Amino acid sequence: MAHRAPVFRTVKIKKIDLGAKDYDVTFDAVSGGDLEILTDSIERLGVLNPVRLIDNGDFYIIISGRKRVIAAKNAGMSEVPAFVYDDTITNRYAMTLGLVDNFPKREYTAVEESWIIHRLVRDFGVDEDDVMSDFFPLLHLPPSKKILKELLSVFKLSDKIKVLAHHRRYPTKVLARWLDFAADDRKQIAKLISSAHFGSGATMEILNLLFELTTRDEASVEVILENDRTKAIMDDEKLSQNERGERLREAMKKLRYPMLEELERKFKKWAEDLKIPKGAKIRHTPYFEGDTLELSLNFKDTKGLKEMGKFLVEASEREEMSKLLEMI
Amino acid sequence: MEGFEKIYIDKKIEGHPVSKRIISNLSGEIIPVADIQKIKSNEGENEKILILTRHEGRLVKRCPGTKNHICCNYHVINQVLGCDIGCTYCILKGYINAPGTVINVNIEDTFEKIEKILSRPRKYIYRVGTGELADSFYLDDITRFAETFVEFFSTKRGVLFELKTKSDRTDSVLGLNHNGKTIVSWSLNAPSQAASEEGGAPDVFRRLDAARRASEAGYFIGFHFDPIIYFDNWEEEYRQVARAIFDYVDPKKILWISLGTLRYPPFLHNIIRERHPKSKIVCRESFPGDDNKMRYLKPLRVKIYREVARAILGESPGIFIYLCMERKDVWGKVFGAAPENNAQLDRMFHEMLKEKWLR
Repeated sequence: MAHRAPVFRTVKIKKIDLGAKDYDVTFDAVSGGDLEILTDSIERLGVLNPVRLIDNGDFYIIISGRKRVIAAKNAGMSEVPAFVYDDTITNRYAMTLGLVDNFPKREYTAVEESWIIHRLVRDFGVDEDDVMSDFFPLLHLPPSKKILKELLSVFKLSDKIKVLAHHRRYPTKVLARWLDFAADDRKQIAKLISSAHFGSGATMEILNLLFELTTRDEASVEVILENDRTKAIMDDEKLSQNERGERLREAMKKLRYPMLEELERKFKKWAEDLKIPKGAKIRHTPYFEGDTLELSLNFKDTKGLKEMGKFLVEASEREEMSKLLEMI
Repeated sequence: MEGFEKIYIDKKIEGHPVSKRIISNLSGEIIPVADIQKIKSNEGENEKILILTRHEGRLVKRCPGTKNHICCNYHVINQVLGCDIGCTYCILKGYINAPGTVINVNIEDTFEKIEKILSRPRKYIYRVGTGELADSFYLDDITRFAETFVEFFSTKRGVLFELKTKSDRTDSVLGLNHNGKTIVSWSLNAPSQAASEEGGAPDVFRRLDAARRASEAGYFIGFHFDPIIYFDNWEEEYRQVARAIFDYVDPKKILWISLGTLRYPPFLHNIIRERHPKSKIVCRESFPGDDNKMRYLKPLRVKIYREVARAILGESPGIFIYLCMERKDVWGKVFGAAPENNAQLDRMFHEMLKEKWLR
């Protein structure tokens, strides 16, 4: 369908409906450091690139340039330059303009991709194949039905999770995993994930651990997390975000692998009871799978060597050594 | 009959008698193709596909042993690749690079290969079976492979052929003149795990009853506790099945019982989760071993093997039990001694078979 060319004009900001987000491609335009930078720039240079608006008769709807409008308003301006389209423009064309306008400079988060695809398919009724052929390239996505289905499904996540996932730039596969949980569990996970600095890999690991734990124990995430170790980590305000994240991951692993944890604990205890001299170390093979132990000795003179030798003779007769050997 | 919606047939074997027999028994759409490799890999996702072709490579292979694990020098015939029982732990989805079940119709090439193998001097009795990449009785009502193999091997010397299955629809071979050259063996599991993880298979007692019928028809019988799954009530349930074996089959007719705890390549975890999100089978602690397969912790495996072996040997002390794909040190901890290597385990089979099967 042919569309009338836009008209260039200056538009009063108060005539723009900032609540209408029909064609937005930025999930959260009002937070983040770049809005401040843009405001500073507009204060100094004005709005260099006109925004794109639809004239709806009484007010204007933004096609692209929401951040520029907000930044201009924050900079104290009352008007912005705009390309204005009349209201015969189709939803599909308006969405295309928004994406094309952002194409060279934007890398979308999975949340944004999901949000955009959802509107195209569910709100604007664009055929799924057309979305893949016409819009996926604008989102830098390969034309895959599986990706389309995943993006549509992750839209079901709550806004709270989407905001968190957007700011942390979690990929679709992390969101899809999150969606595998019941609604209450998702909420509990959001609480856990937002309490520490988890990257995409760590978040995926936590989600996988929790999935196996809830399946194994037939329990909710809330019940799984209801233990002293996890609670202590969550409540320890002295921990940095990174430290808390690391400790929570460790705690989840111990819940998931209690037998391994018990073996490690026993090994550590008996190795300590052996009173291994400084410079010596005893190790087991990964996951206790091998049938040997490794003993390393570091010494710098014959006195040190003699001490090690004495230790070896004594250790070979100690009960703790027998126990360590029984473990493999 | 078997519910295949599409049957792709390699144009090279359209006139093959096995192809004709199979097609005459099926009602799906028949699609001749010049190159089966060009069937799209995602085509089988939503429909049941059968592919009839001829295997150009090695139809008879050594069972794939793994690094630092003792294997028994068993050989496998891959005439059919695929299964529809739907066990949660099934490795076939990961191993078979085809969009559906594959039937290699050129059974005459398999026979030729076997003849060639058997014509060479061999130190030990050759053991070979069809149950590695398929259940030996899967699609047997249309292929008739089970009976064809039983009859083929009935006249051979120095070879023991194994039909390995979870099915109880095995009576098609009962009336054959097998000449004692075929062992029919059943995979067994704890009843609760058979119900939850081997959904399409008959319960273990129906399997045991099928074993009873086969033994009454003169067949030697084998059992495979594989994969043994760790769960809360594992000791009681495996003990119950181990004991039940001897209510159904005379121990004199049982040539072997194998034990193997759950093991799987790491990539299978995601496949299992995708196909069976509620299954608990991968919830237990498993870690990569020397062959990179995921297994339970060694002390747990040893405990499981000891308990199941004790239950079996408590009923029948002389039964030949072996561990499938296990470490030498695990053998040692379970039985007090271990075969030095694969060849020695092969010899142990040979000695046992000389005693119990050839006599």
